[in-house]
Amino acid sequence: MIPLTREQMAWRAAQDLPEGAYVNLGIGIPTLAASYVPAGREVIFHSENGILGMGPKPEPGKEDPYMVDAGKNKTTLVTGGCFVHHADAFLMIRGGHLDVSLLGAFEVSEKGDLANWTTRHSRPASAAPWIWRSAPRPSASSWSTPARTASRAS
Amino acid sequence: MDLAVGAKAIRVIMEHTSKNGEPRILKACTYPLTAAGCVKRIYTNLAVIDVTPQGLFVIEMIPGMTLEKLQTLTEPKLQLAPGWQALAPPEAPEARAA
Repeated sequence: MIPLTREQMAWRAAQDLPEGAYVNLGIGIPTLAASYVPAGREVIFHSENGILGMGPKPEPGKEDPYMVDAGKNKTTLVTGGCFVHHADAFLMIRGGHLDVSLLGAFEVSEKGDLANWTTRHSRPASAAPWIWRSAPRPSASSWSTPARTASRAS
Repeated sequence: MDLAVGAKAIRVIMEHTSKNGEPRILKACTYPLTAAGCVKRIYTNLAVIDVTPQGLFVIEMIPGMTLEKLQTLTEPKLQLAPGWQALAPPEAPEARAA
């Protein structure tokens, strides 16, 4: 019994992405999924730092230091891909325009609750580290649970 | 959090257990939540699991895995989905070139 590798997990998730879907990939293993979409299927990848039409990982030696995804990994742009303002990239998310978001997680509950932002001790590899530097560390009593529908733009 | 709330479908890729072998699929999360009730499917290194209002359904497991063994690595009750399959990706999946 051999558990899957990170690449195999990303491959499996990529097989489920439907033709024409707009998909955001989270930091970590999900980033790898961009490389494993079946040949002939078009999936448009979005990165919240402002890329629509993100491509697979660049070949060694062809990395562009200015072409990075939200997890600060070197990436590529597909033909027809574009850059948008950071705020517009988030409007695409908040406006409900993304079909699938593949995310990493620390824990998931049986009700589908997601815990993926802090274990209270570590800081994520974020493209916006200033948020973490400037924000006061919240106390344990201030953790809140955002409702799924509360901030959804209608 | 924007992503967890805004995207139409949330799917998670993660290791089935922590480095210490503790379950990461739980009855209730111990870490602070990013969003409640948003995850629809979980891809782990051992199985693919659908999250439904009727509970967790295993739709794929790696060869050699049994529901009983997987249950010992998962806190909430697992059910085997009708028509479940083997989770057998290529040994070294071929990455698409940039």
